[in-house]
Amino acid sequence: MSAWIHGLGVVGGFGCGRAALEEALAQGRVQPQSLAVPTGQGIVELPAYRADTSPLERFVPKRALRRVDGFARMALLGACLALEDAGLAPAGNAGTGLILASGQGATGSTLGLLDSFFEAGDACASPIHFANSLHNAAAAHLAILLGADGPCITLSQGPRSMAGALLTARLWLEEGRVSQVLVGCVEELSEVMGYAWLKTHGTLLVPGEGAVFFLLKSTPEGARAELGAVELGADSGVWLPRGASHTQIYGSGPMTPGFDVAAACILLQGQIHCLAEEPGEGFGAVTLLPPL
Amino acid sequence: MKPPVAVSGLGCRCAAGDTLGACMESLRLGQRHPVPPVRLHTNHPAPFPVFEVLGFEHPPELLRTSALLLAAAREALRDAGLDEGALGDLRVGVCVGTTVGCALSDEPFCRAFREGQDPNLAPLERVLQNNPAGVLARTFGLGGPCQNVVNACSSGTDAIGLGASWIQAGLCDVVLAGGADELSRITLNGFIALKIVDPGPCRPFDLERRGLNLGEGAAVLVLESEASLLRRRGRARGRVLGYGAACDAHHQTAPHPEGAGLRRAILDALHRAGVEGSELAFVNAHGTGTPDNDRVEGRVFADLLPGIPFFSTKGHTGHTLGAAGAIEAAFTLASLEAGWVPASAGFQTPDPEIGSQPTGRVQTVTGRAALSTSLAFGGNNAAVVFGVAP
Repeated sequence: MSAWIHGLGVVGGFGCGRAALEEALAQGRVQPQSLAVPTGQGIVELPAYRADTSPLERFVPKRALRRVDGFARMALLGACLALEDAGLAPAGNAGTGLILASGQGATGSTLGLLDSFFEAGDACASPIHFANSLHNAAAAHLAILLGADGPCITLSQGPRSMAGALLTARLWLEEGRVSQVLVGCVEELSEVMGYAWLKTHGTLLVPGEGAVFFLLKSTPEGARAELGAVELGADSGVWLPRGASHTQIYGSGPMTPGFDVAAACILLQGQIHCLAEEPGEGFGAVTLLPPL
Repeated sequence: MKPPVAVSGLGCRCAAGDTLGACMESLRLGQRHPVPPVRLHTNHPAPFPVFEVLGFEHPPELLRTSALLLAAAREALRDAGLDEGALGDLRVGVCVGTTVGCALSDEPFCRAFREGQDPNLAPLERVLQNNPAGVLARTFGLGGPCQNVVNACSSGTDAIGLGASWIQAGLCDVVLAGGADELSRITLNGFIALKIVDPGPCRPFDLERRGLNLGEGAAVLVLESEASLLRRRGRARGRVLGYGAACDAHHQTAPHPEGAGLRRAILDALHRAGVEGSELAFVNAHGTGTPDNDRVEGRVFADLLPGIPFFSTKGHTGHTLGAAGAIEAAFTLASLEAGWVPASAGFQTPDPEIGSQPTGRVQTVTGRAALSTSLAFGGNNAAVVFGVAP
């Protein structure tokens, strides 16, 4: 059985929404913003593609976002945009499945949790930061705020997380577990991840954060693309041509494979392959095909 | 309906025992050892008891979570009669549930970062390079899909469900599916902050229950295609008959009061298994010992599965988070094979609010199918039906 992409939601350094990514791809370059990274030598301004989640207020009342951290806000905005792109409302999505992929998780809330007991002792750990620090907290916020009560799963496998999520989505549709599924990936450039990036890459390679969500169905009518083969394995070999990566638009890092699939979905004029590979660890490959 | 998936090997390591056989013997004898943490130090006024795997040594380059998983996987492979060195000839996938195993939360690193130092990245790189599923794939030279499921406390059950899908879809000959988690100060402090940790030994489903005790451990199921079993003349210890999952979409840390998602997950798993609720020999419940979880779960059992014996094994293992579903899956299959279920350790007094009560003693069971349930933060619910041959 085939799986079809009916909606695409994206937020990143290029802006918010399908049209913003389409425009950025047409222009070929986006000026990065920056992230203030504390180091032993003081604050370093790291050039970075940052995601602005303020447009989320268009979909969700501000009051409902009080306990939703930055990581989950990016996910929520991506998911709402994917639903909108598919002509669906960001509420009342009973039976919809949710699959969220993240290689690193909510590192900002994790550091916030640690801060709470570094500062005041173990007995003063923040329950809100603890709840938000869990890898699946963002998916839970999505399920609650979007009314999506189908199966819900969060996956993590480095840069191959997005491919793993798409494979799971395809299986859920094939097995009849869901008739539609929101599947996406999120990565956050928290202070601590900015520091890690700076130590590893310096300021020459520009990192990016954001979210990419797809609404997948098993029916082709009105679809933007067909999800072709999705493969996960140890060694890609040389058989698969690689699709383009537009890091000058959304940055490098763990979020890049997700953005690559989103860009391929927009630029699609034939079969396109997107590949996420970690030497010695494995690969994830996604093939997109034009709609019928 | 998809065909059942064979389980050809089981392995388990947790506070109840170093092997699945040792764990089952502990369960049968009602032994349990919640003690103040030995490896972890907190500054709470009084220590909270945990179920720690004592005397477990592992190479320092491995995360403890991954080392526990590796130990369970080796036991499961031996049980299946699969030679580690020959796995490269098969299409073998890895699907592992965890929480701590994918958390970028090394305390000394983060403390040094917050103090304005320039900490070395080695601790973060160690976590990224030692994620549990990746360690199994690398150690055994596996070429199939490799995935960590980070779905909080239902991760282990979800990993088994997802691994079974890979077999059914023809993606793999064999999947090493399971879960692993180590005790962590961060998790312990977090659960204490939520006020759901019992200061004494946990009492799942008991009137006086006050919360959970954390535990650590790992379990692995060798899931295998019928063609692979036939080819190598292996035997199935049991089968995954059906898996169902559903989200409450209700609250971040509390279950739906009527167990809406749990009901749908159980009914979906039974439907996919082609098994009626009344045919179940027993239910291995999530049963954490928290007031909310046990009330909701017990009520759902009373309503959907009246008269079916159920129990929680967390009184023997503690709540092992991402490993829990896998450990309980291994116990479920072993109990089905043996024809008995353990007493629900810690239970003494029925809670009238629940309307059902778990097993109070070791008892024999009949029937060839059983259910294992998991509930998780985020409102996730997962249920898996296992069967053994008549």
